[in-house]
Amino acid sequence: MTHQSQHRLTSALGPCLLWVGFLVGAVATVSWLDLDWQPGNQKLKSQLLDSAQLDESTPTYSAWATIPWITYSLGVGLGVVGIGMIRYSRIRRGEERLARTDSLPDLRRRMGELVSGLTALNDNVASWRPEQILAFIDRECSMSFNEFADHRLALSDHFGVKVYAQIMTEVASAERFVNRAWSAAADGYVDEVATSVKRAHAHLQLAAQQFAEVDQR
Amino acid sequence: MSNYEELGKIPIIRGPYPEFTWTAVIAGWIIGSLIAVSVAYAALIVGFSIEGSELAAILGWGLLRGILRRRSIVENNINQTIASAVNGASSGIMFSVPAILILSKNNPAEFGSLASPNVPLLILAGITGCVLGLAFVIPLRKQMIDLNRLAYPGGIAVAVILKSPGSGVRKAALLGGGVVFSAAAHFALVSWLGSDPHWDLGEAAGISPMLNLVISLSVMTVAVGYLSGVGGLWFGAGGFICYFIVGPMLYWLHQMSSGAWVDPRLDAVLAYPSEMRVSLYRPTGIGMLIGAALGGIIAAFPMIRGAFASLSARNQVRVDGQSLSGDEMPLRALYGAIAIGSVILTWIAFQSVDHLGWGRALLLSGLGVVWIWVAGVIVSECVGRTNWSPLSGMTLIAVTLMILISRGGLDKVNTIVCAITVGTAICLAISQASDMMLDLKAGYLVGAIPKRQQWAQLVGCWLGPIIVVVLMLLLHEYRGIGSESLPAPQATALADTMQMLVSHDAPTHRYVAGGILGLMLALSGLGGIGVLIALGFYMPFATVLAYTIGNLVRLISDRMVGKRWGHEIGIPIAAGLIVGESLMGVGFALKDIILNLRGG
Repeated sequence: MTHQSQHRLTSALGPCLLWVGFLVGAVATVSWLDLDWQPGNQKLKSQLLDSAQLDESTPTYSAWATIPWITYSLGVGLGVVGIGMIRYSRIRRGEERLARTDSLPDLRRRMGELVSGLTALNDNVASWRPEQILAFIDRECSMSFNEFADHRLALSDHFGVKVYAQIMTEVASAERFVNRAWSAAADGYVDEVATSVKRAHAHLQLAAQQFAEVDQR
Repeated sequence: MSNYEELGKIPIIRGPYPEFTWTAVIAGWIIGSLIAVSVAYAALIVGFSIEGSELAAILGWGLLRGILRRRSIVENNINQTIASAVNGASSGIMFSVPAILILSKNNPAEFGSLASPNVPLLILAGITGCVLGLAFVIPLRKQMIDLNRLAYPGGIAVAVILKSPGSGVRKAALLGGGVVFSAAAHFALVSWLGSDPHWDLGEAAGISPMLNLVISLSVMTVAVGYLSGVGGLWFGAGGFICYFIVGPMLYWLHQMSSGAWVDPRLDAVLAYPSEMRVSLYRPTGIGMLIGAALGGIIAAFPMIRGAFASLSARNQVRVDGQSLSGDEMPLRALYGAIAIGSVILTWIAFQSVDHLGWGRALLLSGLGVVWIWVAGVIVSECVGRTNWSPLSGMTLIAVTLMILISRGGLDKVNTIVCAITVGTAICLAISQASDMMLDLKAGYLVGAIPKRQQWAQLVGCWLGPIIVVVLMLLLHEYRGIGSESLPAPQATALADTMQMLVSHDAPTHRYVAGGILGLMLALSGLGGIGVLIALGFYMPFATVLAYTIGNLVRLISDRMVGKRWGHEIGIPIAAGLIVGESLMGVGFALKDIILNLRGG
């Protein structure tokens, strides 16, 4: 068996084992009612009393015995093996994706779009009317932020969660200040619009700088 | 092209943008008090509490913009944050305080002394809980909102309302249309089918009742699913696992083994899905929620560490050569609040009854504080992903933990007093934590400064416990909580559970088994699916089905007409649908209250 087919098998088998293990564990957990269990539904209660299946006496053994722990452990064991396989294949997939680096140009392009959009807004904010600012943010900025956010996990794939947290903190701050600029523009507070756009631009520039630094490495 | 192109419609104003103003604070206290009283009273009659953020945003919109002629979206955001912080007490207290009053009424011989609780201590416990809940959850804002970008559908709806004055006529019309349609639909359905309208699709199609194909007829729930998006489909998966896989597997195992491998009673019980949910799926779901949330914390630890590092790091952003002050509350202040809150909670536990030693008081408050953090994370994440809060389940666990610790050295009455006093603090902490995160999401979308919102929440949260505890005692004095006129269904259930707990054990075995399964899902690295699947086990399947329809509508609309359509048209309509049904729900509750007052 080649490495590739082994990898494919692990990728398919991991989730299967996880879900089979989970289901076995779940079925085992709910397969026995407590001995002193009483139904709330009167129809069901009389049905069970008629068939002598309802015992109103005090239970003679622990409620813990109502879960078949051996079956349950078997399910959890299968799930744990599945988790191991999923994690292994994820590391392999991450390595392959890093080797291809096909998502990096996409991220660079989206970051570039965000920076150029906010730079244009920053350059024109003093001369535009609030209505023009609202239209520009809706047309050029909001969707760009959403699209960058949709692809943000590529950052952690390539550079790790620490870098992801650093860059996304700045991107999120930039987005929040763009939202503030939108609110201030809708209310007509032009000084606040200018301050917020400047602040958003500064946060995004820092994010772009951090991204460029790790990208060059 | 946008509808803002008609220039000159927005008046230009120079000077600072009003945000954290006295007007916002006072309006928030007034609106919040009104909502808290109404919601708490309604909760004693209808049995559930109503999320106050959207209502506060609408009332604030009317008061600040309509009557006071003020023009600031972020000022209304602060008003709405304060008002919902005041109202947070109603959902936090509706389970706990009424439960002891009901016990005193139902069993005066044994629990009669519970009718006169230590009011100042209860209020202090509530306020301490509020501060602790906020101090724990505030540092998680970056991780949940900035980094994980949780949806918080309720927060989106609030933001759409707050932004509606500036969104142009078209979006306002979509929002308004959604409100009218949803309110009319809810009115028609409730008038026609009763207070919980649903459609038994399974019965109509001749499908086995075991599959529980009953759908909640709530456009609000569909809209919440739409706002949650495709990621919410795992919530539906949790429900389908219960009723479409586990249920039939139990049935098959029963048939194969003639009742040797599974409980023989399940043969009959499987045809009653609500019994299956209450007795088996719900406790397992509660355990899974805890396990999945703890596993999520472990799996996301590097990211949480990154978020904390960025909170404590000096701000690197400079504008015009000036370093800017931080937008978040300093971590040192939050740690200080946690330390002081923990000391006060220990003192409260010690003072709550006569014969409790310092050691046990320390244990109660220590475990209470840990549970505030864990449950705060669980509830905030659930609200962020689905808009549903498993507050009652978390409260049940809190009270169970408190009873298990305190019952060793105390009699039944003192055990309950002690558990409810510390439990009230925990309930309020959890309720404030989820409300804070929802408001912070709304604030993110309108561009509020997080630190100001966090202060606003603290400015509002102390008032709620005072109002709601006093209201509960007055109502009990004059009307009797637990009576025909104020049945308080959730509190009655908690009172029954407490009575059972002081003599028997909780379903700890299912919590533990579910917890390990939840932990397993969380550690699989498949994101937050563990919490969503657990919530699918916990919630009624009728709600899960309606929510899943919303997820699917979003999936189809994003694929067929694009994501921009969703943002421009779908989200304002969905926000309107949520608001319309909520308002109609408040209207029905008010009608019940008025009829009740006349009858009483």
